[in-house]
Amino acid sequence: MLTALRQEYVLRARIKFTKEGPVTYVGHLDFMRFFQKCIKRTGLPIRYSEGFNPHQIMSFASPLGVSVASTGDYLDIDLKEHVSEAEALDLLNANLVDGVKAISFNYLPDDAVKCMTAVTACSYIVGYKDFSSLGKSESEITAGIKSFYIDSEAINIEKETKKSVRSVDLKPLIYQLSFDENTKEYTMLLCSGSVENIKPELVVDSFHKFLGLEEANRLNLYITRTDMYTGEADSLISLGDIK
Amino acid sequence: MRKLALPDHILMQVDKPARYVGNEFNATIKDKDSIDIRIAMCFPDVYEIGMSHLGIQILYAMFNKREDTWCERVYSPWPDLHKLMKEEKIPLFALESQDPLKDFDIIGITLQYEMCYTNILQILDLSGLALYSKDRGNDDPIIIAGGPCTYNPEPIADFLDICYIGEGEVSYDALLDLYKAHKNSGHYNKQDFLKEAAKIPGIYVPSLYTVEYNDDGTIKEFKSIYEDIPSTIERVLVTNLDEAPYITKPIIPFIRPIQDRVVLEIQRGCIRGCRFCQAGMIYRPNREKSVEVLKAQAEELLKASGHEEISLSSLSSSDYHDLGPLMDFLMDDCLSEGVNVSLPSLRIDAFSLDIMKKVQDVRKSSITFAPEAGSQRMRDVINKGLTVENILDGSSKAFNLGWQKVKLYFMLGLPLETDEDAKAIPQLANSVCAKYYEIPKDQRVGKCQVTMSTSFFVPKPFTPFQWAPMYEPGEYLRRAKLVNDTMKEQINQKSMRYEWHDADITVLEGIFARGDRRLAAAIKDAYENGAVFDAWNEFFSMDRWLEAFERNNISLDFYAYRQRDLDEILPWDFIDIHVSKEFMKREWNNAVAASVTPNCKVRCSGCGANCFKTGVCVESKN
Repeated sequence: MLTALRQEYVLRARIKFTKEGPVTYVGHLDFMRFFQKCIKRTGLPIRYSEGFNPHQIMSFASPLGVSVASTGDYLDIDLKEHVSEAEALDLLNANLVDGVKAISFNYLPDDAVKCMTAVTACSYIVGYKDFSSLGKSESEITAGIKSFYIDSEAINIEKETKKSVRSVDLKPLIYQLSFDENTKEYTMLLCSGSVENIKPELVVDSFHKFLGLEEANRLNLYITRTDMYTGEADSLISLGDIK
Repeated sequence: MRKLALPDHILMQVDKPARYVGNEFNATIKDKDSIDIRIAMCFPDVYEIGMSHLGIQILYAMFNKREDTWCERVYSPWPDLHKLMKEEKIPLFALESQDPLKDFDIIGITLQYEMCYTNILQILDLSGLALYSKDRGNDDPIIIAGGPCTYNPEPIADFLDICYIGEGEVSYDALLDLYKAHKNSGHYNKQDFLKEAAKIPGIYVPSLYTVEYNDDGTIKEFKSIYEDIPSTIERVLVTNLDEAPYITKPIIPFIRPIQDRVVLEIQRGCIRGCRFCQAGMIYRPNREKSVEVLKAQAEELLKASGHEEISLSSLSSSDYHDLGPLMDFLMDDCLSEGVNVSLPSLRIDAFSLDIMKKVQDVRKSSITFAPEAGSQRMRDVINKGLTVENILDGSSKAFNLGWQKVKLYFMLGLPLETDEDAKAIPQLANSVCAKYYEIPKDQRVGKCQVTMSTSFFVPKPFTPFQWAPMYEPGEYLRRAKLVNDTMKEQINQKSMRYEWHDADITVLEGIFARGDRRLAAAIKDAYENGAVFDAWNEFFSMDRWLEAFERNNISLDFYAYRQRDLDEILPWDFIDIHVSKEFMKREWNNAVAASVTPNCKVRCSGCGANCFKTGVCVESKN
């Protein structure tokens, strides 16, 4: 009986969206409420949970920190009926605000894992609002990245959590790290998800420490998440490419 | 992307930065270069409270319908941001354009409660504007206040350029047209504009009136300084609510507001005539919207908002003539999956309970009654029109339907209240509990929980209690203790809980509610000494206010504790709400006699509001 229920036909769709500008100051819980109301306005036939207080079946891949922008975030919703992908995308964009845009809407294969569980890596661009305040030249940063990441065996740091401080080797958790001397921005691909979750600020802080600089002032950084991925480190697939 | 008024480093430091960035769904953005009039509507409290206010949303929609006007919003910056704005000299701005308020033509402030008065000064101060109207010139915005507190605007009159007396839907078009004509004339002069504005119905320009006082401090004379402006300001009101402007696209805040739902105003005014209730007087006569209009508005608002809850708003929803059909429609036809309906302000009877059972989870929710007074005598004094049988029958039905939690709202410190009346509050709550324990033991689950909540009574202008003395804070607390002690003597005391309000704030609220122009200096003094967000316990300091009163020769005895003479000229007597002073006196005498006045649907009591020839005054009496 239970199996029969579970096998009920589920139409799960994945929405890829951006979050930029003033909306980056909206915290994750408020942003989820914003999307619930957006979906309600679209009239998309979203499924609701059972019970006295039914809620929309919707899940976000991973929260964004306040002031962190994104050009590639994801959420999944369950629908009761099929709506064409183009129509759904139009409906969503008519009900979003400046800075939040739905880039794609596509149905997931039956065996697809929910985005929240699936995500294993995220890519970021991180830059300095005032690069000159670092007191380092572009080439020094490039050289620093080479010895900090590319040529190093391990990057051992102390990672603080709410409860404790523990030693972590960042090296295997940073899948890519480079610096562009023209834009003065880092590009990073970092391990993400429930087992290990590496934030870009932590990487910048560790790098600063390595260079003998002060901890990065969060107010001097701008961070954009550019995409989210699933799979093993050597075979990552964008969450948007699961179709 | 829009530019923000606050730099990133400030937004990163303050609590809930989304309060200040605007950009909400359905917020109105216009091209400021093609606009004649820029208005900033202000609710002088924090964003989450201000965004929950229905009146501002109605006016926002109404103003933005005009092609020549762009109306934006502004709320009080929380103290953390207030401090940073002062330190970094950042001027206060409107949410939509993020432009400084100083650049606006009009700042409209809604005054819903007296304890926000220092927040008005905060708005002016952070905008870089002079606090007193007389110190602001032709380049400064016109400051207009509206809302219930403007029915006695005198304590804050010196800060305001205009007070709007009545319902906003009526006179604003005329006022804006006049403003535009003056502004576009090429030789705008604030004083000339104000003098013309004062001739529009409902518009009060405080600077055009003077007050003289008697030796005992009471008012000797209140008069206009020009012959051609009215000496009495007449309240304006909407005569046909079905045709009045309403919201079509509500703004959806990112931060959860207090009212995170569609609010559907079903009627204005109240037929009941409770003698303590200002809203019941200043919104007379009771006017209802038709079910057909409400159905259309409910559907439109749910669709445009994406809210998953709709709440009916009125002073007494049970009195709406077609509540049954409206509820049937909402529950059967209108509400899509995941949408709930909530119904505040219901009288507890079989019909209401039946509706509430359909819309609430009885096991989790509590049911709220407002008997307002514990003894029958006191309920008759305040004209609550509710008998002990009504209350106990209602409780019994609620318990039988499965509710276990009941909240009872009362007022304490009412005029003519004796100790016996105060003790009657827990005695009534005890009887309510007893109704629960009448249910056979095998049919009930554990104990019931009856919570009594008392607020201390504040006499308000334009009520039959407007002359009544207040008590000193210690006396309010003595009465609260009496309630608490008596509760402990009750058989069912273990099922009862008691909560009461702050007594200092009550007295202060009373001083502002019935004060006159001489209070302005003390309000300014208190603000300059740090008073702001006085409605918030964590920021309120009674000592700061007492010091400000002392420095400015404000006597608490005079403003709060004395019995006013029925023939005294009251500070708000220049406003004619079209509910006569004779009626108020009659109702005061009825209160003294504990005599009940029937509601407007049963019999007209001749209050005077029938001059508007609308609403319950012209509907047939059954």
